[in-house]
Amino acid sequence: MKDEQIVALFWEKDEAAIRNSDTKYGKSLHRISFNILANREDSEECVNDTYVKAWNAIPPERPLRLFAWLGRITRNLSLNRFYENHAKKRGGQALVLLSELSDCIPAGQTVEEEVEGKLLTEAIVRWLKGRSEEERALFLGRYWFGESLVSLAILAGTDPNRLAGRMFRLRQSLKDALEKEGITI
Amino acid sequence: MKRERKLLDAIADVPDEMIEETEKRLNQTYSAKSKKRLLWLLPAAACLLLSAGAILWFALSGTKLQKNPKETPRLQAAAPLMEVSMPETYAFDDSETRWKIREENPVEDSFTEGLLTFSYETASALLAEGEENVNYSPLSLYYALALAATGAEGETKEELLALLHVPDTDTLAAQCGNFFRLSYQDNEIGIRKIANSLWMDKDTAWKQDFIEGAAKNFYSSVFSVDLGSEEAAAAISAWISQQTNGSLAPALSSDEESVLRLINTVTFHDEWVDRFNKEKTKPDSFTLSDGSSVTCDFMNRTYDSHGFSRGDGYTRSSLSLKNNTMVFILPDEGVSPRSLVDTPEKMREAFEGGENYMGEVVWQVPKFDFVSSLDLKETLNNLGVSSAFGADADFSGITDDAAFLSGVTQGTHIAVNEDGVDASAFTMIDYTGAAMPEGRADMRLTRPFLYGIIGADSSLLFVGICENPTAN
Repeated sequence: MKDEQIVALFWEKDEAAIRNSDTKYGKSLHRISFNILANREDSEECVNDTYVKAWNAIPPERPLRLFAWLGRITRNLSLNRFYENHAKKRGGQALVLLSELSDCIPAGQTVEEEVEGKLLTEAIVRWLKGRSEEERALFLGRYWFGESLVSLAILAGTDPNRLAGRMFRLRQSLKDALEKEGITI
Repeated sequence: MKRERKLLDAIADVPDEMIEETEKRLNQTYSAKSKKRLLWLLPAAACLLLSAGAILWFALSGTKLQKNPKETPRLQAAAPLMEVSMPETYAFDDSETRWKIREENPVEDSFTEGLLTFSYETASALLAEGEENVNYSPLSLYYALALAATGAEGETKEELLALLHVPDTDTLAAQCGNFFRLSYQDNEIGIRKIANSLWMDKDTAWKQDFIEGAAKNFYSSVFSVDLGSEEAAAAISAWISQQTNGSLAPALSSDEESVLRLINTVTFHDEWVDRFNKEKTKPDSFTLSDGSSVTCDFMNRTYDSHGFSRGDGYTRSSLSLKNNTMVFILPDEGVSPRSLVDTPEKMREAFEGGENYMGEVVWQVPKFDFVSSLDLKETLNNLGVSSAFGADADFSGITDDAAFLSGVTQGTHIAVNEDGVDASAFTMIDYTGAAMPEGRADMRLTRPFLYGIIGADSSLLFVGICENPTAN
């Protein structure tokens, strides 16, 4: 079913919207959540909550690209769940992602100069546009989808160890780009 | 961790296009157990011949389409009226340019949906009947009819626009232009090239606006020739041969009554992302629709974790090409491939519907190579385009002289075959799939099957039925 048809079902408050969303994107959403939480039960809850959020948000929203829209909700819910779990000392993969992202933090930040989230996103997007399609897929595969290095190594046609080095260089490159733009976090 | 968390949150809001681009690549990765390079070739070429004449014109009815002609006719003196600059080409890995072209050439969802609807409507009408191999390029026919529509008026225009599913010719021309630039590809890995040419009789008065629009939005080269001469027929044939890299060389004859020939070609070439191991290619039996069998070479591979779909009467799965996707639909035993496409709705269901699964998929794909020639006039008539073929046709946007379409013929050539490749290029990587396998599918294409090649924005470059892989 086309995205616009599913969105139309949401608008009509037809429960088939959720069924069709799940058929089309359920697997990918589950994967995003599981990548972050490493817990099947928690990730199932996050995906279900995603559909509830979508149900409440449409209308008035009318997302044009349904997968990215739903995926963003799943990702946020899963990260929130991760932060809660982390406070309770329960595990999850996101800790590794956060620790890796330390490499991207530009030097010299102060609280006063902290950049707005939106401007930070824009700077990241500018940097991403300067990367090759494969590099974008590797970076977003890791830090948007939370994919493992093993999975991404297949995408890049290399082995996980070599990929880890490549990912490190990518993070350094983002750090340099943010510093050049005078961005502090 | 506060700053890292802020960074992670900021990454969440990158543009949707980047998310979809990544998702697509990740899905391709999941469906591949191992990554290999430069392995298989899938060249195909299509050409469509469309003509308009002052009276009914049958010049193409005896057209013979030849593969790999021994002698390509030489292009006779025919200078284009207007030089056409083709869109810029870029290297396979130049994603920046690809990105830029996509941003600069927005294609509306309503256009791609209309193109897809047109594709299923025409393909269903063409594929539902017959007993032989058939290959059809919906995209090629769409462009030829779209170009004709931009020069049509009145009922002729309305009928064409209705079939093309666009509200007006301005939208049609602009969207065709954008889609052309988006789709155009000619690099070291793949070719996806639509080419158009208009051959006009030198004694007929043509409207400059149409010629300019054809050049701007359809990248159409316009030639003024003596269409009644053998030289013009040879020049057109040579042009087709050049555009399709020699895959097609129709033996055209001249026609003194003809005032316009509109030629459209789609040339396509791509490589498998994962090659089939040549050593595993083995002869096996292919059961034809009449129950008899032939022996042909089959390429073999098995994916431990690969996506597939099951619907009413079929199993569908696809193989990734570097720039496109080739989908195969295997009817269940006792089900004819024709019955899966006998209405546009059923055809769409076979290409897009069913329940999705992930699991072991055993592939056995016959090598095939054939040409197909389709006379499309009756099909178009049945789909509501009749005025364009009659004496009351209105092509006043092209010329004030009387002109109507006398015939629409499409010739295509498709080959799924292997290219000699150094086996040392193989790199094997063990796959650790996260998705739990849910089943198993046999894509053993040992009986007649459906296939399609999906190009830019899910457009159908080619669809076809392979009834007999050994038939040419």
